[in-house]
Amino acid sequence: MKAIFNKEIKAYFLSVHAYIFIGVFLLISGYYFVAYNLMGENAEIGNMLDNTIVSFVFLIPILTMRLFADEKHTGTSSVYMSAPLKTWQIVIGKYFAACVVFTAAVLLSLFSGLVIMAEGVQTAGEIFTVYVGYLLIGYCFISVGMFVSSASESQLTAAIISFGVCFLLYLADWLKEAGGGKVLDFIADIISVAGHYEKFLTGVLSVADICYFLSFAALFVFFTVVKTESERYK
Amino acid sequence: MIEVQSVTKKYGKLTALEDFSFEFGKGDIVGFIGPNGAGKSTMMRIMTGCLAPTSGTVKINGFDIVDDPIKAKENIGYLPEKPPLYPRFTVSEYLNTIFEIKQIKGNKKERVKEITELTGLSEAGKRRIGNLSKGYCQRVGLAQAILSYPSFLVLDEPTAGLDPGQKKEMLLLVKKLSRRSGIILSSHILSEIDSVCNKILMINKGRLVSFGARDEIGIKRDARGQELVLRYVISGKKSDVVSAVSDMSEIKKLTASEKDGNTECTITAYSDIRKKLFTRFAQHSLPIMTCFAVNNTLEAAFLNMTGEKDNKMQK
Repeated sequence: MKAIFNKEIKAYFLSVHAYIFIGVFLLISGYYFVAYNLMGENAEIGNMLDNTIVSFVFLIPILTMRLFADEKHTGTSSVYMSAPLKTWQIVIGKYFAACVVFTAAVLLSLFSGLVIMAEGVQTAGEIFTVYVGYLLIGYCFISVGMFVSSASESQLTAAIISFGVCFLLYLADWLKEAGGGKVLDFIADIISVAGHYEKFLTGVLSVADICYFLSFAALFVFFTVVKTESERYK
Repeated sequence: MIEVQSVTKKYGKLTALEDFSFEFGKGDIVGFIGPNGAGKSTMMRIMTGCLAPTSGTVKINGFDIVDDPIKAKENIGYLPEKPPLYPRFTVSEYLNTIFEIKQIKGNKKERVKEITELTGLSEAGKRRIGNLSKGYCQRVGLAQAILSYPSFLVLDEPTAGLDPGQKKEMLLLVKKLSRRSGIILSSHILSEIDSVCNKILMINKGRLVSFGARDEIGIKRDARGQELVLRYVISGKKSDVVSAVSDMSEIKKLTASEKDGNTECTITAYSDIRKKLFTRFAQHSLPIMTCFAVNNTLEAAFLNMTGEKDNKMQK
């Protein structure tokens, strides 16, 4: 697992993927921080974070598209498929690598949070809580993107499908607001990743929502393991 | 020992391999030949655990590749048709990464140095793989396959795309590696296989056509009853030679010509009658100056056994 993780981290930083992701993410979060918090005189960092969740829809596919699809396309998948590794070790190694790049980007944006904290408006605990929720949402999107990548043969296909799926997950909250009946509401509630962020924004470290995020990510990591293993039986 | 037993692989309705069995051990270099699409790469991918067979088993040193993949894969090195390289890595970064991925025990720095020297990559260590020539890429691919000093090496067309000099180097390296490992290599260029392999494995349309020692191939009569063509140069008159063997029922056809006291004859026989002919000529005091089996070349055996010859003739 560690070997795959190290390889992926190296691959991220030797290619443009990590730099594009971190650069564009910081640009967007920086813009929102200036526009909402500084210019708009809004003292809550959560507002900035909540508004930037939409950027995950197109940024996370950049991070996840190459994980499996690129290796299958270029034939390098034979390295890990013929290595003495269990499939879950391969998948977890790749997943953690993508999560670490994402976390690095978010931690760099923490500067905004520190400014708010220095102003004494929000406490460190509150800022910690909104950031934890924010990271968990990202990890969920990453698990979905990774699964799509494992089911695709090219990076481009993986990116486009991930974009579509992530967009659906993001829009699910709006679906609920539109009021489409009990069944639709129920489905929307399950798939609405961003919708489970509300409590974090109020400063509550909601255990139920943490469990939801972790189970959601674990489910798609599991799907990826199944999909990767099934490649041997195709 | 690699034991492949009754392996069948189906892609949906298409049967890529059917009831395929063979085995080989350390020190063997098995040449794996067959027409395009015959199932060579599929077989190699199954042997390395990249694919699972629909039925049948592959055992590497006694470990089943499906039931005990970790232990089986520790004993195997694989170079696919297209070397699995990370173009943005340098050669040494790549080999260090492979060392970790393959969970190799021992000193990483020393092993990578040994392998780069063995494969002639010492000077390319700091170069990016994406900037290397095809020949170097192939060497890097081979380096990753042998990095763990595996008991068995599976090389899928290791000489494809190389120039004649590089091909020669690659084959020499393969021969060198056979001291340590059992090797199976596929190739379309039969003369290459002929020069390095001691066993030949022939496949056609997913079925095993022939497997055996290099010297037996071609001499062995195959299922389609192909004759053996022998060419002799005998010191003696043409009439004596013809009369010496005229009563042998195994001979289908005999053509002879006399030149400078020697008779050159071509004998088409239904079976391997070389021992019989030797005795017969000796009894008639006709010394054999030269004897060789015309269809004992690998090309002849290959075309014959895979049925390509007939197809070409019909065209």
